[in-house]
Amino acid sequence: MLTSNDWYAVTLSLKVAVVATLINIAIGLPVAYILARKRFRGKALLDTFVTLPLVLPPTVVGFYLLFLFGREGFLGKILNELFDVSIVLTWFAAVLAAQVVSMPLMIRASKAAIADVDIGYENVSYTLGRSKLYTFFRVTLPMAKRGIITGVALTFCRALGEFGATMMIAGNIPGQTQTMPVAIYSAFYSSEEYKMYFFVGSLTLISFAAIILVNRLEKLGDGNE
Amino acid sequence: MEMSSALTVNIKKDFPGFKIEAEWSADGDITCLFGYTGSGKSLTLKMIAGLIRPDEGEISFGDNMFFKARKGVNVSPQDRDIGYVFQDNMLFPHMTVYQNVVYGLKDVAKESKWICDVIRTLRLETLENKYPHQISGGQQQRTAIARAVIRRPKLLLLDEPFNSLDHAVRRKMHRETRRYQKYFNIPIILVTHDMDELHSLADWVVLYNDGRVEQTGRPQDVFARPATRAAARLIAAKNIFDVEVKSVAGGVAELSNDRVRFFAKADNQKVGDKVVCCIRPEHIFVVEPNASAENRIAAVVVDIVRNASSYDLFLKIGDGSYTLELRVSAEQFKRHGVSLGKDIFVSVEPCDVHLIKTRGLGL
Repeated sequence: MLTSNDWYAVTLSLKVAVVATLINIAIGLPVAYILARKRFRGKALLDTFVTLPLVLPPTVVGFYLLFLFGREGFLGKILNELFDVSIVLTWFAAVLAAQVVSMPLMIRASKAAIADVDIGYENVSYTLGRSKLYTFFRVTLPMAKRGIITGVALTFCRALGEFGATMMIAGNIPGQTQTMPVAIYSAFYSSEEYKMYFFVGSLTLISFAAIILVNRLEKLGDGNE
Repeated sequence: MEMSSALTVNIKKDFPGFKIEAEWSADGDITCLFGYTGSGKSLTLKMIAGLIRPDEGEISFGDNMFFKARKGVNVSPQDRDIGYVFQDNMLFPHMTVYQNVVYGLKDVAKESKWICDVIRTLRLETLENKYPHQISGGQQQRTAIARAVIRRPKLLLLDEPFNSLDHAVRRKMHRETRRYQKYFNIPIILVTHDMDELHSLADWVVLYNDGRVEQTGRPQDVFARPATRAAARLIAAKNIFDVEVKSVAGGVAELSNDRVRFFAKADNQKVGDKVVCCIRPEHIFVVEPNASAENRIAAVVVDIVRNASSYDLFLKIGDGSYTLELRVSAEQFKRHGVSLGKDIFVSVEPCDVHLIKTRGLGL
């Protein structure tokens, strides 16, 4: 029988993936723009740093997050003392884990898309009196739309499927921090096959839906180009 | 043009493998930056617009200081009140013609009459809801111009705007550009490497060569009297010779070196002066073998290039080490029976042998 905890896992996964994706859009687009357009010392370092979570094993990422945000961690201590808050073993830890591992996908896809937009278009905009911010939203972004949407889709799917880092920093508390990938693992080990099929099916369906949605969005964008 | 609308440019910038160092000022309705591709004309335009920052120098327009290295002044492109039409027009592909045109206008609602005026003048009325990829090259270019002038800029920069257009459309755009310039009353700086364009549009020309200014002046003056060898080559005064003044008598100078001899209209030359003379291809003409003519030269035709309504002939003269290039009409070509390998005689008026004043070494 499916319990309320199981349904919770579904909604939690979606919530985590959506929030992680939104954070990645907010942080990722500016970083992608800087990487695509600007030249500065230490750029290669930033690029490497930003790509790292993609290449490191998720459990290693989880370790570093624990190191930073754990009770004894540098940031964890600050949060605890200033706000009396602890991130580990909460749903926000799940968000953090999902966000960190999927951010490189957003940034790389967006960076390539932005770099593909001829800088001449931005220059035209400046000569027409428009600020850099206005230009970014009305010229660069719309023209880089396809690549960025792909980045968002990839980020969402990766965030949805995050397992290793999530286990380490958010734990596996049913009804609280147990996301679907983690629940599948649990169900597998406790031989609750029907639960496993349920989660696998749900994740597959959601992924399908995400891809179809992205394709639809891309076609919509093509309408006026 | 009032002095207050003069553009003064004095720039220096180092690029990897290229250096630009140019100083000129423009006061006419249409000023042309003319020169070979890669000579720094487009870079200059971008610096005037504020898209590239020079290393040194200053750029000012009337009372406005756009850039002054020593004072640390560098006005952003947004604040220079300049219109810019790029090569390849650069229309925003995700916006309609109308949206492109009004892109720079802050208050579209208030300006509906002016918008209509601009669209009508640029003949874009039926295209407002079309996207750039749905209209022709000429229409795209007019859209780009409308987009640039709608903000009523004080200066309009055109960077080889007609490059990608067919010949006939291009000629039409030349006439139209004059019309827009008068109608909107904006001074224009036009970059081109097309001599026809230069002649039809420019009131003033700045000759660019390898990042430096070779000469400035009215087109007719620059073409009749190129000041340097490089300038002569740029304006296609093809036949350039190093000669020495052998004698001067009655306003005519005899110029020669060991292979050619010309008579030219004297201009304060002294015997023994070393000068460079150049002759435009259009000023040389074929003559009958026994005609008496000034500067009659025996030659052999080594190459013929046919044009739409003329021929370019390449002749070997003297001991064969010099090539003379001339342009003859189709009629002349037929009349004299010109053909490859034929021995012919050509002539040029002394007044068409132009002397470039030497200024010491390094001409």
